[in-house]
Amino acid sequence: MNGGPAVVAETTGPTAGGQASGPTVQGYNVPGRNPDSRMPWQLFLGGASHRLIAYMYSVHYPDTRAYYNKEPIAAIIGETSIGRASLLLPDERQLRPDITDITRRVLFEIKPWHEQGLLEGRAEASTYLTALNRTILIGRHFTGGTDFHGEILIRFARGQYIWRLEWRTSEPGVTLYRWTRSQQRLESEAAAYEAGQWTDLSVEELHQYGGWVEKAVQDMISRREKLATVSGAMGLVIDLVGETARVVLWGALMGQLGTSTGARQPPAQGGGQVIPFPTRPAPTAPPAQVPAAASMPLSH
Amino acid sequence: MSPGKTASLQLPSFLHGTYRSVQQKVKREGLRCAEQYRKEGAFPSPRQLLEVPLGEVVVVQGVVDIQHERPVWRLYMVSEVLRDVWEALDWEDSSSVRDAYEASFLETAWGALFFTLARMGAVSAERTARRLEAVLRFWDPLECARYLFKKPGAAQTLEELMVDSCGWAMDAWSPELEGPVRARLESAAKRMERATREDCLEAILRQMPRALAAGHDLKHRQVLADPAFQRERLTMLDTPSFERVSGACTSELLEKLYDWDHELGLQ
Repeated sequence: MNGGPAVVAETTGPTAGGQASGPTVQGYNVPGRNPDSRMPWQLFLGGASHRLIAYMYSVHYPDTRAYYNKEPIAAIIGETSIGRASLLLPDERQLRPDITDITRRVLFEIKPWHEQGLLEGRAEASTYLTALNRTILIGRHFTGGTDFHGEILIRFARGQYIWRLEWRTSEPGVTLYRWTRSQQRLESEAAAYEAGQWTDLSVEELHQYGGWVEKAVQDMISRREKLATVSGAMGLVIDLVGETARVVLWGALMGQLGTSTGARQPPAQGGGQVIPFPTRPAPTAPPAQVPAAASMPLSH
Repeated sequence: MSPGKTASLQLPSFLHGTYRSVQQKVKREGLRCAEQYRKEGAFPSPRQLLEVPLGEVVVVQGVVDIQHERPVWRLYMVSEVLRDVWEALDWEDSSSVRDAYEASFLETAWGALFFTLARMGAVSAERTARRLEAVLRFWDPLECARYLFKKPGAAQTLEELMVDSCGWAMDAWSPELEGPVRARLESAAKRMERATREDCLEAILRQMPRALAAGHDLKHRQVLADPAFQRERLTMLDTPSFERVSGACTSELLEKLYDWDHELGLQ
């Protein structure tokens, strides 16, 4: 069997066949995967990943005023009046940072977890900061954000694997994300979580995330928010019905299970669920060093 | 909704659809608005309003709009109309254009809700009072829908939405009141409307502990938490800077705290 399909993520809109369209779409090609490779399954879901991570940022900083997912800098300045939009150079107006936190005056670029993503993220964050800071009239200048990391477990309809979206801010302003999956086919997310067998993941990182989620949960509780509780677990439930994401992963799963590749039809009952999972006690040791971006070999 | 009332909520048709289709419609609307504003200094009303069926969901914040493929009401995308207006006017005078756009559409139910949630410009006591009063005017029709605001899967009633989005105003300006949200908002709006600078100062100081609690990464908490320090710094603010915090909105106060935290770090 010749590995998974080459897939290209699309940022918006339904697309038959899961192919990217239009010059504005950011595409991340995933090379055909060698089934014998120990390389973690890397899927770049583009828009869906960005939206999920941005949402998690809003959960972690609920009282912050922030702009997410491609609002242009000129509009951010125009809406908030922290500066003068007319001070932007013409080609800077439409620059769109992934996360612009007005309250804390930090920004983040969200990129796939590999060398190219890191380099692009670094360059873009720097460009966006220069542009933003050119306009500022009120308050501090922006800097690259730090200390933003986390993960979400996701089970897609009919999928027998549990997928994991993980992100780390490896250097100021650059947040790298990756998708991995459970090594085994598992019936339940609880089993996946307990088994803890993720490709390319250490138990220590699981503990870190437990602490982080616990903190976010506690923040939410302190604001008297209700949380869904599912058999003792606390967490977030999100219905992820990104049509392109659905098509991409369905095709990938079909490829992985050994049936014909290139299945393009979405499952009849689409969608997925973000899985709540049990909290763990916060780690007593200081968090491990944020890993540097893993570089992806060009061929394998 | 009170029995016997026939109020229904109407939203511009350009706000309904998949994310992509709303984007396209909103772009056309933005160009249309810019055209008329350029010629006549006024914004046109939407060409078509549609009635929102009772209980239907309206997405009021972009960050929880995770499912772009679902056709749904996307009220938060009014910001894109404004953006397209700005773009068509080459970003000149963006504050005045914004304020004019808001003034026009605060007279509608959809505009009242959008601008109250968007909190554009200085979140002053005066501007917030105007916004709250607009929402209160359209309370009955706005009660017809449910809203997606902070959590992607949990639609809220108008009352729950206002608590989540404007709880800070009620806490700051009508803290002693309990009971229906509508009444608390009415009281808060009245007080904000006639607030003096000293009134604002008092409201801000009342809200500082809440802002401090939200800033879990502030480094000089002890100094920042001292009301004497806060008062001293607040009185030193020039008028435009004070205006930004005069509403006592948590995120604005938090922004100031980060500023002061940074300055303390430089000393």
